[in-house]
Amino acid sequence: MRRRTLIPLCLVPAASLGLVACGSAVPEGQEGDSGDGGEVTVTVMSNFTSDVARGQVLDELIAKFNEDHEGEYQVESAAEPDWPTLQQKIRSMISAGDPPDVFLYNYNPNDRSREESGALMDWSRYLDEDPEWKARFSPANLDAIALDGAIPGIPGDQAPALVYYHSDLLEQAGHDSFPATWDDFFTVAETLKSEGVAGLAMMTADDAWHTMNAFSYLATAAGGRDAYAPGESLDSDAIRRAAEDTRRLLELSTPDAVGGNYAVSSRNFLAKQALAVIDGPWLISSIQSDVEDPCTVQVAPAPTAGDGAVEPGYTVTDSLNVWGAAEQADEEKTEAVVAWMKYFTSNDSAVRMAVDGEYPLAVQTELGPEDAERASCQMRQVLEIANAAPASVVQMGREITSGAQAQLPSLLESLALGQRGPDEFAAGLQQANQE
Amino acid sequence: MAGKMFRWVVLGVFTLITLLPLLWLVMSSFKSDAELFGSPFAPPESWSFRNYSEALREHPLLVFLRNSAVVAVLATALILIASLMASYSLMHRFRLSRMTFGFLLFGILLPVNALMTPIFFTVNKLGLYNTTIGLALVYAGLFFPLGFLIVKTYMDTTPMEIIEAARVDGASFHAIFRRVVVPLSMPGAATAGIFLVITAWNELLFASILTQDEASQTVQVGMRYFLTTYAADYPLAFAATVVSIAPTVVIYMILSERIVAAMTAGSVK
Repeated sequence: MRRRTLIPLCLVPAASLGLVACGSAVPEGQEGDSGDGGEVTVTVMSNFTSDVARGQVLDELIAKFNEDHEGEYQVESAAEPDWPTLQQKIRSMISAGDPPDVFLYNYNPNDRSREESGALMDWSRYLDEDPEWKARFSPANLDAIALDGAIPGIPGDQAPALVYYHSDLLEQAGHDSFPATWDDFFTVAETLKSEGVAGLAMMTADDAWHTMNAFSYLATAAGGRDAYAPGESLDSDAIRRAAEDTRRLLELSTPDAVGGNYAVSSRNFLAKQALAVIDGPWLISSIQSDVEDPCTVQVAPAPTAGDGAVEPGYTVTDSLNVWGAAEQADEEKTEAVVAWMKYFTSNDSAVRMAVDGEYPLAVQTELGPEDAERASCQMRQVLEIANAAPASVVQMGREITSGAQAQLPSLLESLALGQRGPDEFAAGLQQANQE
Repeated sequence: MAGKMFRWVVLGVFTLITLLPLLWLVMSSFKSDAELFGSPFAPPESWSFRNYSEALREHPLLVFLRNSAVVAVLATALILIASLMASYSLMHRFRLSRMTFGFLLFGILLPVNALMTPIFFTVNKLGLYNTTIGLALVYAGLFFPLGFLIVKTYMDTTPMEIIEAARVDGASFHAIFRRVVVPLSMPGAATAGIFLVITAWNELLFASILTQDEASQTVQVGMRYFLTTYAADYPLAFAATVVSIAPTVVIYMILSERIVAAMTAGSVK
């Protein structure tokens, strides 16, 4: 009995430890700062997984950088597919006093905890030493990131949320170009609804990204660029009108819009169950792979109210994503991090990311004729629209407090289900934003 | 007769509620993307294993499965060894024994999210970040109260007369533990083991935070490669899901009688 009991008790951990030894999980080169041959190793943490276009381009850029700096620097990508998990992991690492060497995070003016941690590298010295490099970034973005005279991050990307639409479905509804006003869009959406096609692909789960893009355009169309600017009350006529129009859009959307997530909504658009979706340029790689004739998908600026409250062609953008880096005690490693960021934000890399990665960076990006030829039909239009935009506004869901963000899905769902009218929606949002 | 009929109806409804999502998942894992969104409830046009082979090709699912198995088995073994010893010591009355019992169970009341940063800090300082052994040790700590509670509840049903008899026969304190208490507590330990393996297998939060690359990630973390924020291939993800849940389903199917028997064995003295 004794032997029968003890043998399994000893064997199980022994076998497990054996398997652990067989499948050691410590990645090569990550045990210390220096890799083989005295190279300085820099780990780049992002959501650029190698199965998406921007991840493939990042891997190629890293390979090229490593080749150019063989024996000196070694950059490695540590990709986490899920954005919220990535952000949580970065926060945990910063809290534990061990931030990743280089990492991508979402800038939030209401939450500067990461910048204020004191664990991030100050880039101001390196930007001032290289004015040409500094000039590649928008001064507004650098000012936004700055904190007490320091610049704790490098602008990464700030994607414009634009209207992607199936031109063949639009023609089916009797239009050659995308409607310039929301009233015209509703007319088109009602026509298509009778044919079983939704007007706009929408969703209310998670951060309600697609719905909040539409909401932000509707609110700014009604109340101008400052409709939901920080400090403005959200219990306003513009928000009430946007809420009423969003309710109508949800009625004219797919049946799974209420409760659906990003994947459901974008899938509905790609499967032509919806005429349009308001999304960022990362959608382009899915369009290229999943739509039979990709160039039938066109890109347009969102409609306006047509009353001059905002300039036609303006854009709503995602929040700014920023590349942060750990404050390093080792000067050699700091140099490696700076060298990598300069390489990654160079025009050549930015062009590669935009054209091949479908991911425009928040730096000056000048496409040569060959690059423009190589870019997808949608990316060409995205860059044209973004360059010509008379103004841009950050999407509303990114500007409100985290408490209000958490309540957005339930507020939108109750609006869609008729449990809450536009007045109650605006009052509820204002209250959540003040808590 | 009406009562029997009612019982069957209730059983039938519960079986449907339980099985339908699982069957739908398995069926959908054989479909193409167009089929899934075009007719979500229709059977696939062909029962091809294309999604399964593609899922295995795109990401190292077998490595994820191995890591999950290592983490679950190692954590469970550590918890069971500690639980058996702790429960045996608490069979005896000593000063602060009640407080010790409360202390060992206290972990059940703690919200694990609050422990994320200190655990990350500790694991990182020990050089165990991004290792399966680090994750297994964290699970051993986190899930110890669950295993301890099950083992202790079962061990407490051991008749004291048997222990007294062993003592009269000259068995030492440790010999009684090894030769009498542990063998008699095996059904309880087996129940705890099954629950612990399933709990560790399904854990996601700490697995996400404490591992970084495919060589150390568990199957729950690996699953998210198929459904990212910006891209989702549902049939592929469903095929990967079927692969990932298969081990726990098989364990439950094989040991379901044992689980039920062991859960009820300690209820009547």
